Amino acid sequence: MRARAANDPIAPELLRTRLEAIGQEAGAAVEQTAISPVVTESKDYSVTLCDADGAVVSASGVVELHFGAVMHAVRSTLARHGETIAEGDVFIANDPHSGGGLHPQDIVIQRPVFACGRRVAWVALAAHMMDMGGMVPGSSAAEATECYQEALRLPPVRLIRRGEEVSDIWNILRTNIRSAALIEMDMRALVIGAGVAAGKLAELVGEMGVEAFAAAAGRLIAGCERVLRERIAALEDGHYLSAAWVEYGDTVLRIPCDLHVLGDRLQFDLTQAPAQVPHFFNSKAYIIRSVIGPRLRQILAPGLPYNQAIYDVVELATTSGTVVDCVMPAPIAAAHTDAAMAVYAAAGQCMQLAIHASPNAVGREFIVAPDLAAYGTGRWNYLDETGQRRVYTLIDGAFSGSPAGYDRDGLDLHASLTGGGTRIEYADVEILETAYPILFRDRSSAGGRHGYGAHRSGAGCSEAFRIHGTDALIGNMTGTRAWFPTGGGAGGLPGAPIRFAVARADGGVEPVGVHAVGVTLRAGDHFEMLCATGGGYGDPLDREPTALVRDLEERRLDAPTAREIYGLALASDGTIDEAATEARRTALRRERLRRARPASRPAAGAPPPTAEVDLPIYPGVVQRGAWAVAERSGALLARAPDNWLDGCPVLETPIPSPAEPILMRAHLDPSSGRMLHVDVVRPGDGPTIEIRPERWVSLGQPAPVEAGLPVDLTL
Amino acid sequence: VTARDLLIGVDVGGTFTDAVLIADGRSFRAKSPSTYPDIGRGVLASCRLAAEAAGLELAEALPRVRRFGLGTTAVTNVIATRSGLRVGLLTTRGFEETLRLGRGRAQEVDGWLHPPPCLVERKAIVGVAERIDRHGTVLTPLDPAEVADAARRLDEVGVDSIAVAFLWSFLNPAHERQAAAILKQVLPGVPVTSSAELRPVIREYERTNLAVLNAYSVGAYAGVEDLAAELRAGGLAAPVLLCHSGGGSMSIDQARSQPVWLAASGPAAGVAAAAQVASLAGESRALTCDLGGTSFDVAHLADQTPARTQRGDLMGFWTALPRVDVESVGAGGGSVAWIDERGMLRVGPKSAGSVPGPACYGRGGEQPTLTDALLALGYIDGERFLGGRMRLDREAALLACGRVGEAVGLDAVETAWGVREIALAEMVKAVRARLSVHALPAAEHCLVSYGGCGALFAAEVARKTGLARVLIPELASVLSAYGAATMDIRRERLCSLLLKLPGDPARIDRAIEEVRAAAWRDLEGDGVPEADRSVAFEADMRFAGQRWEVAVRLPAEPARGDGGREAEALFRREYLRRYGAAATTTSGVVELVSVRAVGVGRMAGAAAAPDADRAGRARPARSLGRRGVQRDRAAPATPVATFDGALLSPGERLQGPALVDAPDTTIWIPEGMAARVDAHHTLIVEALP
Repeated sequence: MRARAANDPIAPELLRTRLEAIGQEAGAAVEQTAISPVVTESKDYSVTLCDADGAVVSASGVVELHFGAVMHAVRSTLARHGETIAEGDVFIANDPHSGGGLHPQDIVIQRPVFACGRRVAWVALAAHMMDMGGMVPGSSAAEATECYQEALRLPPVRLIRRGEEVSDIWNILRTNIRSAALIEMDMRALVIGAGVAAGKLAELVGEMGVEAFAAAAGRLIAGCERVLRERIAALEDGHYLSAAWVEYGDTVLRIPCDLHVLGDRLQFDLTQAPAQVPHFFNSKAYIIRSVIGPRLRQILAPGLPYNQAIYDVVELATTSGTVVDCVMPAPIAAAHTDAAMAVYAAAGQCMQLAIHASPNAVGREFIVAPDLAAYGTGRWNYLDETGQRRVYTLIDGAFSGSPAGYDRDGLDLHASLTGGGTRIEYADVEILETAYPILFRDRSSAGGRHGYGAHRSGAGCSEAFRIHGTDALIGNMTGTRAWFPTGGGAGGLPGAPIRFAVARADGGVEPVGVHAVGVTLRAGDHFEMLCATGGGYGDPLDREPTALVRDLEERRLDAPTAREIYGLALASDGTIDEAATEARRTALRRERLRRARPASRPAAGAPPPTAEVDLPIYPGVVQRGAWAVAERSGALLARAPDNWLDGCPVLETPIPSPAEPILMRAHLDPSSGRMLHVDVVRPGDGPTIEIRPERWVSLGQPAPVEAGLPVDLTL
Repeated sequence: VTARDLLIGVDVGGTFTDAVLIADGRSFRAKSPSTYPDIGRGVLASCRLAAEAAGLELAEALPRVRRFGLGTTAVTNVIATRSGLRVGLLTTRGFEETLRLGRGRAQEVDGWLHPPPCLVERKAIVGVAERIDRHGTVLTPLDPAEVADAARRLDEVGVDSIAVAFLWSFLNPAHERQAAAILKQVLPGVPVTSSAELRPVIREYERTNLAVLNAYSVGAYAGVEDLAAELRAGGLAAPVLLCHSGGGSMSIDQARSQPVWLAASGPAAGVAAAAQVASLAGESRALTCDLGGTSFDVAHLADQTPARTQRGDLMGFWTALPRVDVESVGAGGGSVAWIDERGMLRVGPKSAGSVPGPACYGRGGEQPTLTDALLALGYIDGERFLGGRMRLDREAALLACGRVGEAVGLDAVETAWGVREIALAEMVKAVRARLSVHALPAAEHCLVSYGGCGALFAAEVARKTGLARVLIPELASVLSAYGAATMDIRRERLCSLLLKLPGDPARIDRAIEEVRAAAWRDLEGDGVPEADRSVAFEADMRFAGQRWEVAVRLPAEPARGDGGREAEALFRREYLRRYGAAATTTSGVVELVSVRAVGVGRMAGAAAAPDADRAGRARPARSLGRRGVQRDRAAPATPVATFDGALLSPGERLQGPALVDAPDTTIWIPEGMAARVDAHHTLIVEALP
């Protein structure tokens, strides 16, 4: 093959195909040899191929959050073991404070690849283990206040040294982990997968030559980075702000997320995050990056293959000692869920705000209501017939209803509506009942729990089970969004929170917190779960009446909600009364304005000249000259550089909360009463979003060119 | 009494109906346009042509037929075009949404996710109170009155066919049987499918989906029934055997209530025929590949039998349909080349189909396809494509390639070269995946290539993946019909056990006897003479907790009374072979998931080879000419010797680089490899020593 310039359109494709084949082959080996349903049924594992320095070259597996985290693990191994790394070594790590992956329950198995006597690449496989030791079975201790309590902590250490098993390490693992015999099989599955991948990769590099491989891998990454930079450059320069909300007991933490688009750079500023807490959801900057990267790819360029480029374009600024960049000895078992997921959602929303405000941006056709950062997991343990304590993890709480899209309803039992994201399946009832001493009463979608809007969210999973074949099940819960719901988009309403409860044999129903420990089920008790949903999109009063009739038929909606939230009027024969519906909707909008608090900064001035071309600001809001205008009514909202939300009358409705008070705040079109944007906030909070494209801000006060943020590029 | 010495196989395809008639070891073939929806006319027409080719009138041929095999996509089409019956579903209360929610699966279309398709309307799903647990123990008994009520509700909704699927019915089918009986009583004439009767396997979603697909396609048989009647009227005494998804056939009478077995019969017939080809060449382990217009399909043979899978995706439905394990990647002759956002050349998965088709077809297609690239590079001779039946426009192919490559600085020829390389890489990837997932040693396997222009890639695929040799059958274009004519009758019966080993010996022995007797009865029902019947046993086992079972072949007479110890030992041995010593821990408990009987009705003489006349004397084949082929990216095209496939005879040898223009395909023998024609006119390509 003739050597070609850096932009050869063929050779990198051939390499990519080979690398994907290797990932597939390793994945096949893992799936066939692992034991735990979390790995085998739910596919909570990944295969990542890195270059000699740990940069991701190719990645496969359904848990895309893994790829960036294992890259960090490989780089930590390189930093710690440097020149002692030899052919035939296999490393394990799990501690995020000292080189692990996404959280301590995920182990990262890493194997250097040698060719021609040189270390030329790495393969890294990660998977969730059912237990890694620590104070509670399942190793996800919501009560832990320090990382020492959470799990056995492994910095990168050798499981295999130059092809020889290091039995000391295996013995430490067997001694410190519950159900060690089973978990050892899962660990070995990853070791086998790493062996398969390393063998094939060595063969490939041998064929290509070390330099040629390195160059082609570099071109693969550079090609993706070029596309991402082009897409970023098409965004309007400016600041796009959102907020991540993290439930913390009876309070909620607010993490401001400020996206600065500057040319072809994306800078996420999380420096204002609150200080780390003695609770397991502290995270690390590298984990936040691992979480944001894939979302960014999905929004900007979903066709791109996974590699280092998607992490390299995320510039992240954090403050050490905060919940998003914690230090020892902060507990960290949920490092990739609560706070990280909330930041993921907020960063995604910032990106969507930027895309919407940029007429030439790619991705405008995939706008959805804010991402759903909700999950609920039960780690259940019991004594089996041999008197051994066994643990299992039920992940069904992740099957939320997706947020609505700009032109369609959300998807049932699926966290997202667009492609990408973690694609997992839940296990059949017959599989769960085979593996564990439980019996399901029902499993379905939760009707009547949607984020309402012109387009509604999907429905979450609803299920209930009891013990069957054991005396007691003891559960330790993790989860988020139990009372602070996910907001809607473009005037859509917030979604439903997740709910756990135990229906006792005697008929009493006890609510169960998402961080409850020691939840005990005995004969006749049922554990009940209702998953969360994302928010709706657009004012509910704009929903097609025919869609409402279908919702009623499908029991997604009850009649009072159809009438009061959606303004639907049915004739006596059950058909839609168009005229009455329209009248009711007009009345409801008028009623909103009557009850609303006046705008804090009402817009006043001459109407903008009509010849101006409208520029998008937010769905339903456009920039007309120096004015922000409600698109459908033509009402003036603000004059540049003011925030258009301040020009909206505000209608606040309390949201019932078992914790600190929260409310739904609708920003209304001052003339029509249509909801333009609905926030979920605490009473004293300001708006959660801010859209400040440079072209808008500069109209008011010619701003000096801003310097880039201080950026942490280290990993 | 007429001597029944003829075999007929017919394959009803989307465009053509192919027929193969085998008499005295010689095969005669014919093609005739398919006739939808009344497929019978096309079938009779093609049979008549095949008979005439053998010098017979159809009326005198039919009574002499010992075996009449039919491959039809009737069921596939009903599912693909959503033209089946209105199905009602009776299920366990509390789990009515199992089917609709589809395990949280989603399918991506144009960047958005969609729920998996569901063939039953919400209002046609009725739950009844009943519950059985994992031991098969009834916790909540079924109330007959409630089932009768449910039947009436389904009747009000207006369903034409009903599926019954309860939790754990595969382990204890009592409730399903009872419910099915009540439904038939209350709604006489409405077909009822019981999930446990159809296929008693664990995982309610897959089992329910299969039962629903079956209920949905019950009506798909009408055309087949009419055809069988016509054939009988024409003198056919042998039963009409239908190719099913498992790579075997079953009689039309037996298939009537279980149409879903036919849903993936098309690809299965091709693989079954490839198995015949391998078997004739004395190969017992092989991979098969079929390069069609839109995809490259890979399967493999173990012990001359197509490897099967017990579950998988069927046109978007995830079901427990047992079938030949065929995997498709989107790289076919019609796959379109394009430049992606990174400026990389890509091939597929979009296909130009047959309309407009590749640019070189001259039917208005402007996008370059793999076929265009092969023509542009010289691998295909535009004047002799399909034996000269169709002329291809090389200029158009070059123009299309050039248009795409221009944007990234590639000329037409270099673009074409890249398209071929990328498609080849995808095929290699698919073959590698197959080898690794099933832990197959490449060097012990050959590759049987059939379909489209697969033979232009097969030799290089084999070389890159370490496969021993390539077999290219002469009958490629009518291979599915050949398969229909020759494939054995295969009937599977399965019993789920979910036992940790060692388990209750009486239960295991009883299960084996049950499936043996059932498979035996099936073969009897298919009209297989006792002497030709055989039953083999397989056991599905895994370490407790694993997802996928490993199917292990048991001895012809499985040990009795040992509580599965023999099976466990075989499983551990197979597991070690596949995954190596590090894969197991000593404490792993083995679970016996199910036992299966595979009944085979051998069709005596089915192996009759086409033209198995003589091996022929080894001698070089005579080249008819040369044509320029662009083999390297940069170097100019070099002349390659060409051969006429129709003129090759057994014993002849060719050395690469060489191209064989056969009536149905073109075969590429790269440098360093050589080919010989065997007694069955199969071309065998191997690396030179």
